[in-house]
Amino acid sequence: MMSMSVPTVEITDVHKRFGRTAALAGLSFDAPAGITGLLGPNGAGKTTLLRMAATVLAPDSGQIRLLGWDPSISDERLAIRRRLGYMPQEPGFHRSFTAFEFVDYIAILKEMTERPRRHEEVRRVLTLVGLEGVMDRKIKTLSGGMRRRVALAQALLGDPDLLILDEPTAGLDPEQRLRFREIVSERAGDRTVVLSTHQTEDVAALCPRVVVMLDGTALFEGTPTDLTDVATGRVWLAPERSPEARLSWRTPDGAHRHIGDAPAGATLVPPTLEDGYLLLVGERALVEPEAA
Amino acid sequence: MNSTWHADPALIARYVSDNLDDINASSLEAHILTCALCRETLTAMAPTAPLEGIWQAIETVLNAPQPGFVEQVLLRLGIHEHVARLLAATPSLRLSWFAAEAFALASAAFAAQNTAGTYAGGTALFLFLVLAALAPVAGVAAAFGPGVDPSYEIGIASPMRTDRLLFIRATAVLVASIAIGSFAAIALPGLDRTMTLWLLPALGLTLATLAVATWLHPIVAASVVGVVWVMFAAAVSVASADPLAPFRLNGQLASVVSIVACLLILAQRHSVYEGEIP
Repeated sequence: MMSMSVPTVEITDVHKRFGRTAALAGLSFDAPAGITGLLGPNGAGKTTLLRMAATVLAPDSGQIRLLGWDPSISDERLAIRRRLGYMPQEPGFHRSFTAFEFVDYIAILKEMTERPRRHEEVRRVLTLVGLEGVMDRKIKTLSGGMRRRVALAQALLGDPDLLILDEPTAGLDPEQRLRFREIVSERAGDRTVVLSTHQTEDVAALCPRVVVMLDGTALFEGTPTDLTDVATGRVWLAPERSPEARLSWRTPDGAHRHIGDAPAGATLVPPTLEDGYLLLVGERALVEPEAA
Repeated sequence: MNSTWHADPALIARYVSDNLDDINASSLEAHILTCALCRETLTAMAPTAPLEGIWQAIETVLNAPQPGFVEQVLLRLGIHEHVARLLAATPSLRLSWFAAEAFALASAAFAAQNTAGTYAGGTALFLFLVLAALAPVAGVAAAFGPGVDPSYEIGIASPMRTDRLLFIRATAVLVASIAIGSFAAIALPGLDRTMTLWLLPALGLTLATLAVATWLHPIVAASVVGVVWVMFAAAVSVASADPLAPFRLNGQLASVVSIVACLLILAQRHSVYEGEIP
């Protein structure tokens, strides 16, 4: 287990291009033990970063250290993979397998070859994600939310020290998201979890540390409270929409919430985490650029 | 039946923790058979963890799901259960895949049988041999890689060496293809060595696909190898006016050279399969 003082994930000046698109442009950030949430609009480079942290993708330049090891060195990469759990953004499944068989297959890839102990571990993680009742059902018959939980279960195999989760709550209903938060927060402890999400509620509920990414760089690193504070004194409620307002919307009670400069006749209100995030990424959060 | 004396609890504790010498242990066992009170004391002290472990192991075996058809066949063939599961996840180790391969080869073999001794018969035999040599190439290309293996990305991030997984799957596909090809070859005219002429080319082409796939996507690698093979075989056949020319001595020697060259390439470059990290 890593010492609390040593960052488990250290990314230094990392660049990565896909053709003409720069997915990461000199990204640097650290993730210590605990849960780190990555926020950012589509195309910000979150998935590219997480694939690197999962040893799937190599940077064009820059340094990566995971759990104190260098993933570009074969032996050290193997040591990282032995302590890593990874849930990709779009996990693929062998659809003819049952949930149990699929997780069992991944357990074999994770070097768990002794059958009784492996089956016990497979049952443990499937039970942990609430799938104990459907573990013998074919994956092709499971709902999208259940499949994501199967993907989460395989990532939890072996109780990894470093857990990389790419949009784990996408497609989950509110109850399932709550269950997910319970599972991840219980597992975290002195382990390291790095997850990406579009849900600021997930970050507020789970992550003591948040990184906001934009255009392949880290725009902000800090606590959710720090991110909320970014918008302190910049969030207003006004009866009408201001023509100058860049970020504003009509709330259910009919008032207009503005982020930025004060519109005429507006009242200053306390900011939320989402306000801080929107203020940082500005209009980029409201459009859908091409995914990196 | 009850005894008039009772064993010291400390003695029973030493027995339970396996710290009692054989003579005293035998005496205690004889006494316990006749003394209900000492049996109760012993039961209370006996650790339950080993029993729970045994019960859990029984439960695990009883609750283990029934494996699929391909996996069951592999287990019956004596393949270790975890290797069988790795192979069961191979996209090209499927009944439908085997059926398609068997149908194509059997069709060519029957055509050769029905037109034996004619020019068309020679062409059908050529077709059978070319197809039989190519069958494992297609199977290997569809056994592994992005876009083919659904859990490829999770697999890359796991500690099992990716080249090892690929070679296990390629071997299984090759063995299955050879079995199907050998079975289909029974339908060829005459049970002679012609039946086996495709074996070395099949091995050479399979290894060539694995070697080229260290530079290209496996599907692209298989396509390149397949096109080159068909063009080469057709050209040699036409140039020598002998449909079986690519499979005669010089062709077999070329296969051996190809096998050695590809093994050398794979020995040098197998780590490329580990993912995009160099």
